[in-house]
This record gives sequence, C-alpha cells and structure tokens, in this order.
Amino acid sequence: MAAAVEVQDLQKHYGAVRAVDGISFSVAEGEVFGLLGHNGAGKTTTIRMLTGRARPTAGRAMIAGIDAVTDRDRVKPLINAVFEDVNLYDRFAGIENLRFFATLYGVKASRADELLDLVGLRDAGKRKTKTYSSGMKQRLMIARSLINTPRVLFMDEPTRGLDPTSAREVRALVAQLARGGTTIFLTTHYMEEADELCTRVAFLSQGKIVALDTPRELKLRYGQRTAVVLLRDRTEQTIRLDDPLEAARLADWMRADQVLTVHSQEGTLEDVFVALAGRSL
Amino acid sequence: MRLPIVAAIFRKDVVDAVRDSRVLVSLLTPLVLAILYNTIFPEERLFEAKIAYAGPETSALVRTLEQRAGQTVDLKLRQVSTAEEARRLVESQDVDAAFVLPPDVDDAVRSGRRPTIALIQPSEGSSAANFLSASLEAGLRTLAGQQSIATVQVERVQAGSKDQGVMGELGTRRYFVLATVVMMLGMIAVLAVPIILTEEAEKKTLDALLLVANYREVILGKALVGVAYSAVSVAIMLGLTRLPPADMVTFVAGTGLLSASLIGLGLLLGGLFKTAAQVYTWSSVVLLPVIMPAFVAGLPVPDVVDLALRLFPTFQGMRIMTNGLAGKTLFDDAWISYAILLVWIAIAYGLLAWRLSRRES
Repeated sequence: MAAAVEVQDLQKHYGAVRAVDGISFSVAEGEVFGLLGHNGAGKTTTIRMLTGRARPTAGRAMIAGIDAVTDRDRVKPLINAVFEDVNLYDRFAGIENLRFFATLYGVKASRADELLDLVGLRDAGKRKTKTYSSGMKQRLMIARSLINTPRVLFMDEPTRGLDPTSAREVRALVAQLARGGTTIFLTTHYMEEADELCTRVAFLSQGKIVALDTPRELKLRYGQRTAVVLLRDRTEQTIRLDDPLEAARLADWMRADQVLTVHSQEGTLEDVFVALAGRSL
Repeated sequence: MRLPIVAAIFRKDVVDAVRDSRVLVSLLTPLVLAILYNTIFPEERLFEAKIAYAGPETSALVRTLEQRAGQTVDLKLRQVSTAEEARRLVESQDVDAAFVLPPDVDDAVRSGRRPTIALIQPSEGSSAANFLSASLEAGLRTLAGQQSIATVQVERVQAGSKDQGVMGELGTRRYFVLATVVMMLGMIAVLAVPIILTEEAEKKTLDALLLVANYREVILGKALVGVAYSAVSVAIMLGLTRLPPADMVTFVAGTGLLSASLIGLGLLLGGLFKTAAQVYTWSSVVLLPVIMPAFVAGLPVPDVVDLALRLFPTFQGMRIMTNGLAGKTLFDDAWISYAILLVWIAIAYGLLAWRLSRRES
C-alpha cells in the first residue's frame, strides 16, 4: 500500500533563497505527522507544494501514490487543508460557505449540515461568518476541510491565535479525526500540541529536516536525563541519570531514608526544538 | 477545464458581489445616470398620445393609427363603449383626444356613403389631437382607395458617415446613453471584476479555492460574472432609456467584444493589487483614460489625437455600438474596429495566461 504522503528530495528555491532544501520523508496512512520549525523554516512552503499550490524546483511529492506535481487534478479530491489564516467568505453564512465547497467538490449539500453538527456550529450556521468568534471560524474551517472526506488533511497552524479553550476544542477535533483514520499533516509552533497529537514529528530548519522521529524518541535523544530529588531536610537536589557517581549519591540517600520524592525531568519537544535550532542557526 | 466548478464559482461571485457595497455602487451608478438622462434630455423622449375610441376594434382606421405611430409615437389606445364615455375621458384629461366610429365605418367609406367620424379634443387642442386628425385623414384616403394628389419623393442621403458630427446624427441623448454604456462596461470590468478577484487573494479564500479548482477555472468564473453583469446592466440601461438598438446583431457584437477586452484588462489589473481597497482607489484613476476615448469618438478632434485614440478598445467599441444603435453606418471601416478589439482581447488574455502560468510555478 502506498504511503499517504511520500516526499523525495523536495526543493523550492526563490532566486537564491532555498526555502525548502531537499527534504525527504514518508507519512503512513492514518498517521498524524507534525512538521515543526521556526518562522520561515519552510513549513508552509512544503504544504503549498504538497497541496499543488506551488510547483517544486526539484524533487518529488506523492499523495496516495499519485504525483502531486504533475497530476494535481487527481490529487485534489484526496486532500484538503486548514489554513494558517482565517479564509472564509465573510459575507456568507457558515452553511453557505460549506455548501459552496460541497458544490465545488461535487458532494451532497447535506454533507454541509453533517459537518456543522460535527464542529458544533449547527445553531450558528445561518449567521454570517464575520460575526463568528475566532474559535468558531477555526472550527468552520475544519468543517470545510472535511467536506470531501479527504484521505490526507493538511493543517497549517490550526490553533494559532486561539484562546486556550478554543485551542483545546480544535485539538480535540484533530484527535477525533485521527482516531477516524484520516492522515493528518500538521504544522505548528506549539510543541505541546505536537507532543499531544503527533505520532511522528520532523524538525525543519532553514529548509532542511534536522530531526525526524516519534516525540518520545526525540525527547529522549535531546532532552536532559535528570531527576529532582526532594530530601527530608526539604532541600532539592538535581541528579543526572546518566552519571554513575550521581546515581550512587541517590542510592546513598535512599539507603539513609533521606528521600521524600523523586521527579524525573523528561525533556520536552520545546527543549528539542531549542537544542536543534541552536545547532542549526 | 471543469465547467461545474466554473459555474459554482460564477454563482458564488454573483451573489457575493451584490453583497459588497463597493461593487454594488459600480453596478448602480450608470443606471442612476440613465434615469438622469431621461430627465435632462426630455426633448428626445417619445411623443406620447393617449387616445380613446368608440367603435369597431377591427376597423382599418384603428390599424392605420397604430402603423403611423410606429416607433416615433408612444400610442396608448383605449377602446370605450360609447361616445359619451370617450367625451368624459377627454374632459377629465385621462386621454389627449378621442374619436367615434360608426359600426360599419370601413364598408361605408369603401362604398362612398360618407360616414361621420367624430373627433373629440380639448378646446385648446393638442399634439395628440393633431396626430389623430392627420392619421385619420390619411387612413380614410387609403380606405377609400384615393391616390395622393402629388407624390412626395423622399431621398435618403448618406449623411453623418464621417466621424465628425455623429452626435448630431445620433442625437444628444442617444450619444450620451451610448457613452454611459461604455462607462458602465468600464466600471464593471475595471472596478467590479478586479475587486472580486483581488478580494479573493486578499482574504486568502483563493487558497481554499485552489485546493479544488485551478487558476483558469477561477479566472473564467470571475470573467463570466463581469460578462453577466455587463449584459444585464446594458439591457436595463437601454430599457430604462427606451433606446432599443436598430441593428441588434452589430450592437451585441460591439458590446460583447468591448466587454471581453475590458474584462481581460480588469483581470490583469486585479492581479497587480494586493487589496480590494487599492483596486477601489486606483481603478478610478485607470477608468478615466480607459473610457475617455469613447466619449471622443465622433467628435471633431485633431488628426493626431484621432489616430492615437483609434488604438483604444473603448473608442472602437463605441464606433461599432453607435452603428448598431443607429442601425446604419455612421462610422465606416467597421472591420478595423473589430480587428482592433480582437487584438486587445488577444493581448489581454495572452498576458493573463502568461501570468497564470507564472503563478502556478
């Protein structure tokens, strides 16, 4: 079975600027794949090439085994996207936005009503979208992205600018879609979001992939292996788990019954990002 | 090219455009001007005659009246049952004049029985009464099979075939209505269409659209919106001003080609600006040189200016449309006008295709 997304040596140059500089990766069916990186790292350009909105300078991009560059019209029904910026027809009602895209994709208008239900906007469906809150707009964009039941859904910063409650709702929707088997290609600045949602993540820096693995493996690889020990005298001691001498100190405290608590200090994806960005930049 | 997608984009934009006040203004302004022209050029209005009659509807005299009215008199004929009723209508000024025919008027005239036909008119007389009187007399002569006592030979000469004096030939009102049609096509093409396109890019809805459509389908959908608004607006304009083109084929050809070339320019313009506000500001500046040549077509200008203006699509469109509206050749060498418009269309859409191919890469 072909991978949902297969990218080989993909490049995009704007004059002398190498926005994407020879990246390769593969995303399996049903996977939530995160593409992480700082501003200008090449995330959005990568999505633009994969969704057929920009032609690569070199390399190949395949969606479900179909060439996304030379066979765009066959790829279009298989994909959809949630964009970084709100891009709804604001003089149209929510339901009108969805029905328009239902017509474009040749699906039944009733699909629009189903999706309004899914994202909890049934009651607001007849209101013009310019009256929606940011969270409602984002949910409507997600509904729109599902209108053609895509095999691969690209989500470019889907929670950017949302308040914590709205962001949580959007993350719940993404998780729900992933459980339903939709392949999700996610870019985000929020490392905890990637950690929560993604099965694998790739770090992009200056157009190149500098790390690609599961969040756990990356955290183990780049995070600090330390633990904070709280002793009976209420002092905290940080010990390195990869240092035999410090391990011996912990053993001594435990033998002397000095240890109240031990908290492992597992690294975060943010630590990984800082470590990688520091090296790359 | 997938036509269902083009049709969906077209329908969406037609609805969206009328919800946008800026676009709506560009559509309504020329129509307001049409109403204004009806007010400020009353001398060229159709002469209206409201006439009542009592008598047989099938009489040849009634038909003669209708034929003589033709397109120059707006005849409103009303049949009543009695002479008394006809008189009351004249007295109450509900009609301008009335006449009463005996039941067998046609046979009576043909057999020389000299029937009496009563003409009822206000004491001060009226143009409608004069028209009625003259028409009845002519109708009676025809019915009686009488020859005219002399033949008036009408010679039609080819006047006004030069560019100069076309306003005099066409009439001030027609000329300005036609110029306003060109302005209307210009406003739709250079203002409304670019706003529709630019706003799509500005609000990034174009990104969502391009996930399913391609650039050509989007552009075609928007061009069709311009064509549809142009067609409807021109029809309303001519309807409001009651100026049906005498040569419909020529008029539609000129309007269609001019509209197509201007919409091509408008779409190119739309690609140059980043925001609809910029389009709104700068299109007004662009609009003036685009439509001005149309207002000069047929007016006496120095040869060098005339030569330069001939390169403009609005100038050539105006020439074809003038011939179409008048139903005669007021401007010679129409093929040159068609050729120049076609060249403009080729240039505009060629550049558009080039831009689209660059954008897709």
